[in-house]
Amino acid sequence: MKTDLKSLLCGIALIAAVPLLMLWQSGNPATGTAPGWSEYNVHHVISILNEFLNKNQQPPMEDENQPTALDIFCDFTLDVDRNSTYTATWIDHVTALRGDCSDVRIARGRLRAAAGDREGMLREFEAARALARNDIERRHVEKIVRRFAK
Amino acid sequence: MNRRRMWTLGTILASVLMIAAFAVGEKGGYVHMESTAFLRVYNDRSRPVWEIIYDPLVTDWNAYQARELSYLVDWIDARFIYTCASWKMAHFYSISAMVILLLCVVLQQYFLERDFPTLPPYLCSLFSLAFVTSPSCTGFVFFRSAKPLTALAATVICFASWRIFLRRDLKTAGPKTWVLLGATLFLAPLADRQGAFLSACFACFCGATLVAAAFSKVREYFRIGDNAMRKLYTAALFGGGAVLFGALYNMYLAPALIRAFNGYDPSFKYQNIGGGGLFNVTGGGLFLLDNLGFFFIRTYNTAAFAGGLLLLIAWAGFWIVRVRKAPRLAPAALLTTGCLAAMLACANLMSFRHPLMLRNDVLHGAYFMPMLAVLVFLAALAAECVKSRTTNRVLAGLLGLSLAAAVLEPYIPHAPFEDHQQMFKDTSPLVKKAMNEPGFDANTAPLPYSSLRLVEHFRKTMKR
Repeated sequence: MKTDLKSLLCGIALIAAVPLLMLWQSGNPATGTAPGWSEYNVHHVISILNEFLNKNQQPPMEDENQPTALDIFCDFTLDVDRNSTYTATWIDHVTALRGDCSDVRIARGRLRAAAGDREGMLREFEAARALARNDIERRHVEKIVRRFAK
Repeated sequence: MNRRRMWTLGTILASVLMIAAFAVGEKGGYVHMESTAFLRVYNDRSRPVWEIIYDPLVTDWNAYQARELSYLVDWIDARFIYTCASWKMAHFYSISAMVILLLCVVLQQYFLERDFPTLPPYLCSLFSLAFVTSPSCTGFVFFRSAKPLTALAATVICFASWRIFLRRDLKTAGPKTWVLLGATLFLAPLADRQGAFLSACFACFCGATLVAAAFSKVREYFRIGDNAMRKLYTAALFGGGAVLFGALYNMYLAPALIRAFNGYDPSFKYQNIGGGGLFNVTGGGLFLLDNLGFFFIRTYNTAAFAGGLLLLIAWAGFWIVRVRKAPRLAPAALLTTGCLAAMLACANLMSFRHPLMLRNDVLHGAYFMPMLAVLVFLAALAAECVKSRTTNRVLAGLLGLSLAAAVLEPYIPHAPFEDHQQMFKDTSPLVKKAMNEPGFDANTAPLPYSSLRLVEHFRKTMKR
């Protein structure tokens, strides 16, 4: 049986080179130089939010000084987010999955504070107070209010 | 006008009507959770278009994927939405999703009419109509154009390749077909990572065919002449060139443009999967089989998975029987097997990277659209190769089942599942009202906060 070496070598080269090129692209560890955003990628956001969402039947708060996952999320993202575009979207995502609760209202209040909407912020914090399930959660809301409503 | 042409035009017209009917059924669509951000970003009138589309921080959540062609189309969609809203006709349709779907149908019908002469016209129509009504194609809500664009690329690559070097009696495929194939292979990686995968698969299939055709016995048995070999080398060159171009664009060219326009280097973290994701067969298998089953019977979970598995077994059995009877059909059977294996690998990687896509409210969406475009071609290829009336009738029956299921879908019972977009669907009439009526007090309306920001942004943009 005759063998066409040119065809054989071209075929093998192509079969070998294409997966290598694909692996080369999917193995790049560079995290970029985006200002203040290098850690702000989907995984980071999702990991923080998942922590929150996985506690779907979250028991009432036991220590008002302990920040919630949403507090941590807001601390992190509001610092680096331009115009809170993404923070707002993800907070809404949490609300969609989890439903309305005191934590969500605190986050919405903080978003409004970041946008300079003081009236809206106070309205959200008021709603957070109303949704708090025990005294510890109410004290947590007051702590947040003191921090942002100066 | 001959009868076949009338079927073609009728199918295209029916597709237009179906697309319109689905769009009307969506009642203006809803503002997708993530789209509230994208609409604001793409309608930022203070930045030129190139600066926006080469800014993955705002177009892709810093999950850089080198799919700027799709961002350009998204930009057109977003501008269209704001323009319509400024005319007091607020909606959240993706106009590109409709146009691209229609283009897929036109191309399918164009190639089916010319290059699949033994297929009955009714079967050709059913292929396109079942495609148009499939759940992965009928989401016209503005989100991303990456998957529809890849589906269009998949349609072109499959059908143009068949025209160029699989159909034996077609001696001279014109330069137009080569240009179409070449341009698509080079542009697909710029549309989506699935597009890059598609071009890579094409190149690998060309490589595998070159290896097989290196042996004289294979060439003699399958009657691969010098002309076919020339075509094969050209196609391999296009495929390999497209993969190399896609890689260089992803690794160097796009990052350089991002640096030039926005002053930072993108993060490759989201793309950094390594090879491990390839073996995520549980996720990929579930995605593929569930979608296959859902396409035909619109049921969820185990029933959809079992339906998909049965169909796959039947398809494998069909090819085994046919190839035993007529061994010269082996290339078509191998191509089908290769495409299915590639789809599984692609689904493995996607579900490994983004496990949330396996949720019931996401699973049957646009992620499957490019694969469905390839499956339409593979089904047409099977029918064309075996030239059997029974096969045509069975295929027509299955596609008819899919069409019937599309009509009956609202009445097919299923266990309830959580829809993470429900809040946005429920509040979208209010968002549209707030965009249409400048006097509407959006601030106290029960809107998601991101939707409120969207309304505020739209009103500010329109005042300028």
